[in-house]
Amino acid sequence: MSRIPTSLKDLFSGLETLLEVEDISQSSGFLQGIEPCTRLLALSSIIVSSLFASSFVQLSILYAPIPLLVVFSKAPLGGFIKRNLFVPLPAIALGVPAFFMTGGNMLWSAQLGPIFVSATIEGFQRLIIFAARLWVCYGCLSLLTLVSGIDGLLSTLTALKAPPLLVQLFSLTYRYIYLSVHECVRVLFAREARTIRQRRRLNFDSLRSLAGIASLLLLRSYDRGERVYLAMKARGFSLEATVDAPLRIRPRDLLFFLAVTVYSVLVVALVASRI
Amino acid sequence: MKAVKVSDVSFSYSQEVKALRSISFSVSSGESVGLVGPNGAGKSTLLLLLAGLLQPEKGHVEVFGVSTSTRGFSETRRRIGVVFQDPDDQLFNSTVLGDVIYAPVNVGVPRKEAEALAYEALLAVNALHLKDRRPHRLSFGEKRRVAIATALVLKPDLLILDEPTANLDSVSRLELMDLLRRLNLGGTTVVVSTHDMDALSGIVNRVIMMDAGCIVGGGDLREVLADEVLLATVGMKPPDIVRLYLMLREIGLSRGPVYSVEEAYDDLKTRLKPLS
Repeated sequence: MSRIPTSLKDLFSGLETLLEVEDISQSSGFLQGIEPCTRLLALSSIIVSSLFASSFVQLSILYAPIPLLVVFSKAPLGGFIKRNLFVPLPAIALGVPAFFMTGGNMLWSAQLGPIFVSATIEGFQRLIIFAARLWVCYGCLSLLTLVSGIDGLLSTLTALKAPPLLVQLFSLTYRYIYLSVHECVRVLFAREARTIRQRRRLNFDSLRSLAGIASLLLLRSYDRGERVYLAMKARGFSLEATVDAPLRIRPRDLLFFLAVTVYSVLVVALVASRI
Repeated sequence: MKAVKVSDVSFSYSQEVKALRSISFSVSSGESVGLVGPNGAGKSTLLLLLAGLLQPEKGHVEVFGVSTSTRGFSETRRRIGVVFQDPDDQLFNSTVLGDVIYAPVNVGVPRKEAEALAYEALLAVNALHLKDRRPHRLSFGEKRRVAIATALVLKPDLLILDEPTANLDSVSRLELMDLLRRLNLGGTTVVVSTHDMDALSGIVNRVIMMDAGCIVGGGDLREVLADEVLLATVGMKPPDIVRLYLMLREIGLSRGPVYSVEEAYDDLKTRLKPLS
């Protein structure tokens, strides 16, 4: 989404664009060339290491290779950073209680009626580390979704012996998201075609209209879902059907996995020993 | 051998909506049959029953000697290709190639073989250049061609098509008719539902006429096309070229109807040549 949506149509067109991240997954970038299962495990090792990191420096060093991987994977760095900028706010909102509830050197205090409120330096540090940890985790997952198409993710889940039912449900959910978004865009276009006065803002009226559309959408999506299910069944779909998942780990995949894992472990172990 | 045998089949979506009422007919292997009738006649429902995607309330449907109600029918379904009325219902993968290899991968064909089959099917419908495109970004005609490729990929013995020529431009329509004719000549049984009477004459050799969930007539394509009264009972008209010749016959300028532009051309050439 290149700008903030100002109408319902913008909102859903933007959502449709978000679903187009598969374009990036199909380009010939560095991470796209790594076997999906190895890719998942390598990025997971950064996430796991971030759980053991206890300082902002450690987390920053852990995060450092992620933007580089974005660039090498030919994904838009600007879009990636924009996405990641949204993380600290909810993270801080979630972590705010720690700011006030952690004991230590007093930073600020106030008497609010019968309640004494105080914030500490240690609480502030905890809050920053919490937000940074979330940032690292979100960065890894965000990168993973950018460079892994749906087929790659399904293959990875199958290769990692995830229950077939889970894999099928995941693939169906993905397909139905597309269908629902398309159905919604159609409804909105149909509405706009009969709208004389253009509404440019998301206001109460448009939200009320959205509620009406949502109920209609549910029915239409259900109806379309039925027809898609029949089409899938006609082509041999069953819950027992397997996803084609050839697992071919090459030396470069192994090298990438080892490099990322060793880096993550070293950051946590060495930097911790110096701090 | 019978490719399709429908015996006394009834089906309803709810108590109020009876889609099919005691329908019986059969289709021989290698035959090409058209289902015609107005909207709501039950054609699409009948096609879904033939593909084993719906089960009859009463009666039974057999395809290649196997009842669609039996558990073993999923094996027989490999021999059936279905093209739905709306290609958007049929295309649900992220790429065209992903959609076309969906069926072979599902029935256990190794990936490389599945891709080879998909390329062949896409080539047959002149859509190989679309293989890496996103299905929902294609034009309607392109979507239709890809939908047909998804049905052809397993080289079906029975091809079921619901309104295949609807909303196609004239070139795509002619290409599709030619493809279906070639498939039928190659031994594929074709069952097609359509409103497009012009297309019928190029695709099928027998017609089943439906109205309000019942079979109201049918027979050899040429006999049906020339029977204006019978066609009028289901709200349809003969193709323009047939109507023209029927009108000419009424005023004594033609001995019999013709059924295609090519036949009309031959007729006119023979009759006008002595005058030139």
